[in-house]
Amino acid sequence: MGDLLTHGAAAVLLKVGVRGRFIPVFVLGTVMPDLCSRVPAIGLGYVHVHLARVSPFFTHGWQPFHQPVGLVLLAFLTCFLFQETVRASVFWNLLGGMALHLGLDVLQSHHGAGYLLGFPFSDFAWELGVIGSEATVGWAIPLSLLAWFVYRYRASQP
Amino acid sequence: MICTAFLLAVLGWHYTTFSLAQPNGYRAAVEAPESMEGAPLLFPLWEVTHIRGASVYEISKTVRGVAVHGSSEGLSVGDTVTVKGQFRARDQAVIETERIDHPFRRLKGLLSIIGLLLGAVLCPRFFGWQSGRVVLRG
Repeated sequence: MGDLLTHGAAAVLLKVGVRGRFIPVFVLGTVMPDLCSRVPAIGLGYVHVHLARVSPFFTHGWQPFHQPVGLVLLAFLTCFLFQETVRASVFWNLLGGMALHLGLDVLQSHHGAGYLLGFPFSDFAWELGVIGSEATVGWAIPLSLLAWFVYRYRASQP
Repeated sequence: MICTAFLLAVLGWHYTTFSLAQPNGYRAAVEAPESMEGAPLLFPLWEVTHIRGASVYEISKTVRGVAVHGSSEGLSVGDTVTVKGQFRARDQAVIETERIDHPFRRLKGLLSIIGLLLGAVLCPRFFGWQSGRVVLRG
């Protein structure tokens, strides 16, 4: 979840780079895995550690929102919030953003924990592990500013 | 939509069951301590919640107050660490074999909060609500 800024910025840069439409939806898809899995897990985890015991379902059960099968279901569910005319585009853009998120996440190393990309069909945990899990901290602000300027420049073009 | 939401809930329950039964999880070790003596355990990104002394500290995440036997040098309560170790059945403690500190974890958390706030501020610029549906703006 600590990569919300870098994920969002990468999504903007990618979409602007390919001159794609539905940029906000794509960005939403990029941040949704962390918003729906990490935010509640960290929040309830804090309650569990410091305040009161919380059922394991509420500390572990959010993880499928950070796995491909769960994310396809989440994108499907979310696109129904939008008007029917844009629903298919919203679904594919959400899914594209989610794929970008997972693609960036698997670059990280969690010292053997890995990501269960095939769950519930496979329990094989995997990650490329080419960068540390905090390696993006230094990039977050510059990348976000770059994304903002690039987005504004694109918006100003006819 | 109801079926999809139900499937997601089932998936969450299934993951919880799967996760708790992991052989490299502390909870599984505590349930059958004798058979798990010396088993390798991994605690990725756990919080240091108590320092008992120079060679024992406690970490918490999904389980509270797991005792780790290893040097606590350089650690403070609230730090985030990844601990690799072996289970000791006698006192249900973990004998640390490797500790990875995550000094930038708090900064990463702060950046996330900034990201969340930024998202909340920018959201109405790009999304609206009309006739019970989300509409795109801009």
